[in-house]
Amino acid sequence: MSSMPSSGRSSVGSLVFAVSVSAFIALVLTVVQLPNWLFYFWPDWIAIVVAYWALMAPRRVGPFVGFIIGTLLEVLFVRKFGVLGLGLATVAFIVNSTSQQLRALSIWQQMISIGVFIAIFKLLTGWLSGLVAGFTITPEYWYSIFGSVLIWPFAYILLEELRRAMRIR
Amino acid sequence: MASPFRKNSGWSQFALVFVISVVMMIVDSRTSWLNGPRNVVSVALSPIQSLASIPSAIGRYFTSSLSAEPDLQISYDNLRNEYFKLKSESLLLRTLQEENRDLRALLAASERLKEKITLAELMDVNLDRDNHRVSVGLGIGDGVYIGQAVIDDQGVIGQVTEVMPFSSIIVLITDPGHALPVQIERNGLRTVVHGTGSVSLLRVPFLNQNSDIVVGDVLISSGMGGRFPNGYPVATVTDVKIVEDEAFIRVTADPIAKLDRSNHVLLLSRQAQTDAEKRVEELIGESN
Repeated sequence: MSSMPSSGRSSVGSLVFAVSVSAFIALVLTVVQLPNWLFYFWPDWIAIVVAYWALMAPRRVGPFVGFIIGTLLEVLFVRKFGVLGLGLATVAFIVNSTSQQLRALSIWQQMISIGVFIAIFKLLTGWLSGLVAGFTITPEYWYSIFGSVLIWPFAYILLEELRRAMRIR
Repeated sequence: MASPFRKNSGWSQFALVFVISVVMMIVDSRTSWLNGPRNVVSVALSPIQSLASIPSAIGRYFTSSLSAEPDLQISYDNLRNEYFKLKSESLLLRTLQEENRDLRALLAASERLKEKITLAELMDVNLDRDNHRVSVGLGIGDGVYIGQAVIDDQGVIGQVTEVMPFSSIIVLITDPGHALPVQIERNGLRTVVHGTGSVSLLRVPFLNQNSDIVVGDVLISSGMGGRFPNGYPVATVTDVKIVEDEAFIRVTADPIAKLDRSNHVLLLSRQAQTDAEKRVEELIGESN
């Protein structure tokens, strides 16, 4: 019984480590330079990583973690603060509250749900950037939803490997 | 560190984050208080940018080390021809400059200020898909300032919007939120060019039906607004459409600068104060 708290703490520690590493890789992938044909379809890596951890560790990774990662993204993009943080917090919140049902879905149904969540994320952040920074939504703005949906199964498998290796839950 | 990872309590946590975000949005869009913390965190995040630039650096290394000798010879010859052409043109330029100064003196017009030019290399990162912006590897220490005009060897690229310790952000003229005062080179008609979010399309709104503008007209920066020096090429008009029952005609233009292909850009800085001071000193010296 006495080993319970320490094992709990180490599991939180490895979760913090795994989330940080995957968020770091996602940030690098977000700013990597791309050929023109891939540019608009490049997935929203950060939203995928936040959605994954909010799905698999819903009791630990919630709106706060989404907000912090979103704020880092805003620093990297030199955007106005608050918009992406709120967007990712919303993604984490929606995934948290539907995580039980989402985990029971097949991979196809999961891909569609992720597409819907990322569409909500892009709609919210696009509208808010319009309010605070005069951003205008163009048709190309939506293309990355398709990229994100297509990459979800592969990202899911890789992140599952990471989660197993770190023995989280 | 573990505090954000504490047990999730759903709505209350989301409500708190919502309030914090809204406060940050309002504070950051009205004041510059959050720029200090942003600069500190941006230094900590700079390894991400260097990691992200590795793939394109490797690609460039291979293309440069694998190019054949005849190709290099051809590009060398082209550069040399270009060099001699420009050199001979600049000979003429000097006499024109003298002539221009004399004419301005005759008209009692103020002398055109010289701009200082700084060469900057674009960073190999894809900054932000949703806004048309690029980052360059010059920062606070290099004398970059907000509002500085940026050109390439063809025309106007954009202006500096953020200056951080080791890098600066340039907003391109094609950004949907960017507008640039221009005039038509042919007849001096003044107007404004707006970005649309597409790399090869600019809009020229608010021209009425009897404005003298035709396809092929070159738009140059007019110097109004004080940000961009006057006379740099901006765009060529590609389409003029008159729609009946509309107050304004629809004009589109194509940027002249190689917005998506330049690796190097030039930052223009005004030495307005020092030059003006020199001029004043000269005038005082003459009157004595």
